[in-house]
Amino acid sequence: MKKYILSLCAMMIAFTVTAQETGSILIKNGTVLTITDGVKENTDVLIKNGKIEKIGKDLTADRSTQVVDAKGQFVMPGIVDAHSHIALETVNEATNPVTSEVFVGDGLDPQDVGIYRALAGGVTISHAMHGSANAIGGECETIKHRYGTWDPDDLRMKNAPRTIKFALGENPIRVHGEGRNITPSTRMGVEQVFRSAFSEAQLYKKSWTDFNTKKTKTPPHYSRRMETLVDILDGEIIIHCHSYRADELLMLMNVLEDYGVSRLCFQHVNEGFKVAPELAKFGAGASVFSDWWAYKFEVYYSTAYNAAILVRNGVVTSINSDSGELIRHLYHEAAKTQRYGDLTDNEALRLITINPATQLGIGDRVGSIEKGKDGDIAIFSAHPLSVYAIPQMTIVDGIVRFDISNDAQDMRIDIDPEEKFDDTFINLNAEDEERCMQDVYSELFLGETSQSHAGHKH
Amino acid sequence: MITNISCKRLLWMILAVFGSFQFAISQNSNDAKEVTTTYYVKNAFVVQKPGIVLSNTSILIKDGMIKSVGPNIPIPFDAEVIDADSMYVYAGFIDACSHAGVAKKENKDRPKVDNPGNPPKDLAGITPQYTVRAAISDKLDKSMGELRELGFGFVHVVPRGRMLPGQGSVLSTGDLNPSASIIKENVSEFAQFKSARGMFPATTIGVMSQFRDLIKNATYSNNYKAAYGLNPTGLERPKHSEELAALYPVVEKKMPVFFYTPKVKDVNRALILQNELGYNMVLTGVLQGWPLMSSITASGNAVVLSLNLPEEIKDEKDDVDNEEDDKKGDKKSDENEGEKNEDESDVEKVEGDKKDEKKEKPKKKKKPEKEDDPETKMLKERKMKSHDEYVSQAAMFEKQRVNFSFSTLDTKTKDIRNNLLRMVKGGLSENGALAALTTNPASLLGISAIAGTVEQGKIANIFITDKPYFEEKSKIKYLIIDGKVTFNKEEKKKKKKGDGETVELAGTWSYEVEIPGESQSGTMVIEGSGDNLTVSTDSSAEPGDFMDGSNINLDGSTLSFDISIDGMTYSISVDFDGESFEGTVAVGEFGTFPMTGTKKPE
Repeated sequence: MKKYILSLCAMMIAFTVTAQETGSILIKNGTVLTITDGVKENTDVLIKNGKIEKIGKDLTADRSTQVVDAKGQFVMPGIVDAHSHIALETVNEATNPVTSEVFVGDGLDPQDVGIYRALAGGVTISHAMHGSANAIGGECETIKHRYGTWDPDDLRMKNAPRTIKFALGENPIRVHGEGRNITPSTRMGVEQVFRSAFSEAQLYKKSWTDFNTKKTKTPPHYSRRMETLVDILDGEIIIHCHSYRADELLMLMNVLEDYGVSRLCFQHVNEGFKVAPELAKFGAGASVFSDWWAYKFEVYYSTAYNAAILVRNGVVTSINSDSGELIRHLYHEAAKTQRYGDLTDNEALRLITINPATQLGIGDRVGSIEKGKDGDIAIFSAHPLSVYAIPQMTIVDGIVRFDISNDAQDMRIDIDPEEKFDDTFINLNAEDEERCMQDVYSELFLGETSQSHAGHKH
Repeated sequence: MITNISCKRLLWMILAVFGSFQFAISQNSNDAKEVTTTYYVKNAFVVQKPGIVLSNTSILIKDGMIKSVGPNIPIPFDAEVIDADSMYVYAGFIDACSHAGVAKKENKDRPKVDNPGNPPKDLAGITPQYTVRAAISDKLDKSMGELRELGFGFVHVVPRGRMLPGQGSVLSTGDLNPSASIIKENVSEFAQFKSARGMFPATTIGVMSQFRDLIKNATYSNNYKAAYGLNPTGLERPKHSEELAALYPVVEKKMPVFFYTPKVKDVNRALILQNELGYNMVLTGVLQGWPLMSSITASGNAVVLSLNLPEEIKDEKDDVDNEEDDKKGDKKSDENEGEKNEDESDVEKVEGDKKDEKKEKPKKKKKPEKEDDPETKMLKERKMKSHDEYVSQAAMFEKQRVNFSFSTLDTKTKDIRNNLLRMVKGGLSENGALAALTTNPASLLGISAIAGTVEQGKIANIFITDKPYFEEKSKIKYLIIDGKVTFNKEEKKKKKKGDGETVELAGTWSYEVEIPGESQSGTMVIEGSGDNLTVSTDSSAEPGDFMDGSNINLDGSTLSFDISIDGMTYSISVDFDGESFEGTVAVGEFGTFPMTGTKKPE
């Protein structure tokens, strides 16, 4: 009985520690990599109620504020990952070439221990994306890594712009063309899917305008699919498009130009280096891997200089993980652009901070250490682009969410009391599978698993 | 007893040890015409409603209703008197959401559709227009009877299916056909986050999206229909959709959505949809809702908690307890506990040379040979803590003053009572538990005028126990459903040959085993009482040769045991239902054969 009462009490406390809480913290004497305002030695950063209040020397704070000594350590803005599938229960609604009606934010999984692992790599924000099974996939969600909560709402980055996943090339062709013998069976077909969808959305928009202005009396059929597409046409949603080949990059930009859509960021973009000036002219972002390719036919023509070439051509470029493993060392991935392309320290760090933030439309709120921005900080033992750097502490909205000196062995939130220990160990040690094509095989092709399709599924 | 028998013939030798047996359903209540429809429950403790116990009170039941409740009611000449002195009368429980009586759909192959992106609505699991009346079997099936035997008088039954399976109705658990059992029809729209197979919506996020589409379109369509009804001239004739029309009462907030939300993520998703779309909702079958307690209470939604619980991890808990207590140096109580355990196991050993190995095994577990490594130990502690949270969820909701009910969705019938007792041990008050089974669901389902309490004018669905319900050894003695005694344990007892009080199944049974090409039969004799029943069987091949069994286990109404003859093991598992039983016999490599039996008249 006593035990029950104790656990009751523990739970009552747990209830209160939810919501999108913010904290105050003073980080003393670190080397501050501001990203937008140079490197400041021996400098303090004061975060108050979740926002960066002051950057300077000898700062003080009231007694209630936690003080962290970062002497000899490096303080950088929390890393932002523009392409990830952590904290998601479902990734692909692969039943249609166009599924703009679905929203991965409906399937958030705040109990995913992957969030904590990302924190342990200094990542404070990730872009939880729909997969690449459909030409037009679902809406994505920008999340802050407020690990420890049960409530999915706590993860959402409030007022972050809406984003949606598009996909070019082999994935939608394989799922819909080869899988079901419907459009798109070719790259041309993918283009046609976009054009049909946008044209239909224009008609849909007109039918509602006519109804709302009483030109017609019968309400049109309400369709979330069309509603979302209309919002894209109206510029309310940023398109993040899975892509590899240069010809297709140009194709999508042409399509969007025809429909007056300008907010675009390409994902993967392995052949981006071929059309970097065109990307820059359109204003499209590029979120790339540092050195990952050849996992399927359309991804052979690639180079590790991709990021550097894009940067030098004025493309807003980021390096993403698309993986629950890579997300833990994006700072290594960024450092590779110094080996391949000689980017400066700051250019390399921008690839995992302010640039991905800009691509997600949140560059004014995060991605650098500036007064007024969110108190999202990663502290490293050495310069984060050094191979010797070890993440020490990760702070989100002024609250310490990872601390290497207080890193419990079992950070899971939801414990299944019926789980067998063997399964626990297997689950804890499981490698994150590539998830861009998650749910596709299980949902569509009974008996086939993603494993039976050798190769990478981005 | 004879043990040397040729194995060439299949001989069914059954020996069993029965625990006291509670299930005895009268299957014939429809066949025989009642002698009287008037009953008089004399001098009982009447638990009229949670917290109100009337002592020395009698109840007059007539025409299926409770006619009066009070201390000095005259006994009508035609009344059958139930002497309930020192017994307890409760209002029949109300299961706030269940699939009882609804046949499970067979797991057919995935249906092929031309366009998985826009499949037929019924294949996609969108059938809000279906009613449970059409879904329940012609005759209420076993699951309903099992609930009744546990004291449930009313069940809110919802259809099975996927995201929108259809509408639920409240049934009385009387042994009538479903149509006659429905006491309130189409009280709810049942919904769940269950995706379609290989077609839209194939994922949770698809279900969420589809739900929004449906509710939005139902709203537009409903409004347009209303406008058309007022003045149709010059308006396009409204298109009719069965699915959308079924959702009109939902968008008009006249019918609540019972959203099945076992886990915390389901709860969150259901709340998101409700916030956006605005309808009345009942969070249903909540197994793990406490982490979102503040959101749930803020939403003001009614809550139906699950009666399901994770499997009890008692043994491991004792281990952890011991370790913890050791640390604290508080060894006294610990030692006592240990002694008690050993005493018990000794007793069992003495009794049980015939007893199975199965029962001894868990005892051995209690003393782990080596201590767990720190990691395992930590994981065990976390599991235990999680387990305790599930068990004390109901107590947490009670503390937050949420009026909740209980649902048996996903709950094994045999676990229901024990889970209730576990929740009470976990801090839930007995009155709170009782309210969640009677008055709360009655008002939730809008049947307070006829159900939920033992009061004049209500439907006579009550049960009578020998001890207060929440006492561990309390047993149901009488069950009165729709004003008829459907189960009378006292009477059954009188029929026995003066055995001890707890004997329920003692007697002679005949059994039959269906083997392809032939049929084996024989006699089974149950003797003894309490935990010490024995059963012996012979077979028609060698009448009179009785055999003993081993590994005997009684789980709810299911008895399983093995008999070994000349190295061959026959594993028998039968489920008792009143005067009959049915089950299977597994015979080594030969296969598994159906076994049925009936009680022989004495």
